[in-house]
Amino acid sequence: MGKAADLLPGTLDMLILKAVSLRPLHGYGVLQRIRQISGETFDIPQGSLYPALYRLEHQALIAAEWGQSENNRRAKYYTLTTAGRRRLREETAGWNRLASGIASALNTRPEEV
Amino acid sequence: MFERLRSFFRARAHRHDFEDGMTDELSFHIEQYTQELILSGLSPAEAGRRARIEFGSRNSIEGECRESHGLHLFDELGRQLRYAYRLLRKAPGFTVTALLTLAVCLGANLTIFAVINSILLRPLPFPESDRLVTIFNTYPKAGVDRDGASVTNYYERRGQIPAFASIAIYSYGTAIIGESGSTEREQVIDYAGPDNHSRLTRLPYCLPPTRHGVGILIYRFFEAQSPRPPMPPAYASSDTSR
Repeated sequence: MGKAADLLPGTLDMLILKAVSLRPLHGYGVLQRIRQISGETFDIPQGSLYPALYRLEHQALIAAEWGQSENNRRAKYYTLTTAGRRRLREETAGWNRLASGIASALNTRPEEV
Repeated sequence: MFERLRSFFRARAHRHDFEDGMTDELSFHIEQYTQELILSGLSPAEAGRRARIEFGSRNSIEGECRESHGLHLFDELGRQLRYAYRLLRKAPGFTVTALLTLAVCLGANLTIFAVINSILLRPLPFPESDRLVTIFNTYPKAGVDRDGASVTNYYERRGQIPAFASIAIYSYGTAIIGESGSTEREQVIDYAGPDNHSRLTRLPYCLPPTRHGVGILIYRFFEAQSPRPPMPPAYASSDTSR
């Protein structure tokens, strides 16, 4: 991964919700999926993934169910709940607003002022 | 909020499942990562070592997971209680002294409160209430020790017994209180008296005599129970009072 960026505070939950919204995933799968869909931009500390998953499950934003993994092992799979879907939508909208605001601020040229 | 409570109680009720599930889940993660590292060319032993190092301290991660379900509070409470119990058992002399002190203090508090409550906070609503007595009719031959008096008895006796400065009569009952058409039924004390008004007229809720020459008053039972002076009383004509 080399020079992976640190996650901004609060964005891990959003990325987990997004990863899980694509397809039910176990914890390790969430990590891989975030790495994949972010173009390997982030290095998510493995230790902080599970507390975040448990927190989201506790808030009923994701639901957990035991199932079989690809290599036939018992694994806990997470899916997005209705509340989670709503939260993801809100967070996505909020993030896009923030990102476009910052982008337009940073891309301003002197003649545009 | 509701979901969080449900999640907390589920984790609490099935604590073993929660712990086993967490252990399995974290082990599964480390195994998966080890496999990935082996595929990338590391030796199994080295891969396992790297996976565990990168994963971080399992203890603290498990702690954080429990914390996110609110379980750590109970764990901590249980730990503290066990610690306290062990400390107390180690020092029986201290324990006994502390318990006795607590018991004596509680008892003293209770007694003092009972006295203050009856003397200061909720005295009977009469002046010199320590000199107040209840008189009963007795019928020894019928084997009845204590019986109530009739209204006639009251009229016969008031002013006739030198030992009593004044006499009043009361009975418990219910009454409909409020505007006409009201359906609010309250428990009340019907109270009539006294024969001379010199003593009880000091009370804010003693009424002037009605056409029968007796002040009749209904006040809400609950107000009579409260330490505050009763609300302005509701008037009732004497024929509804008993």
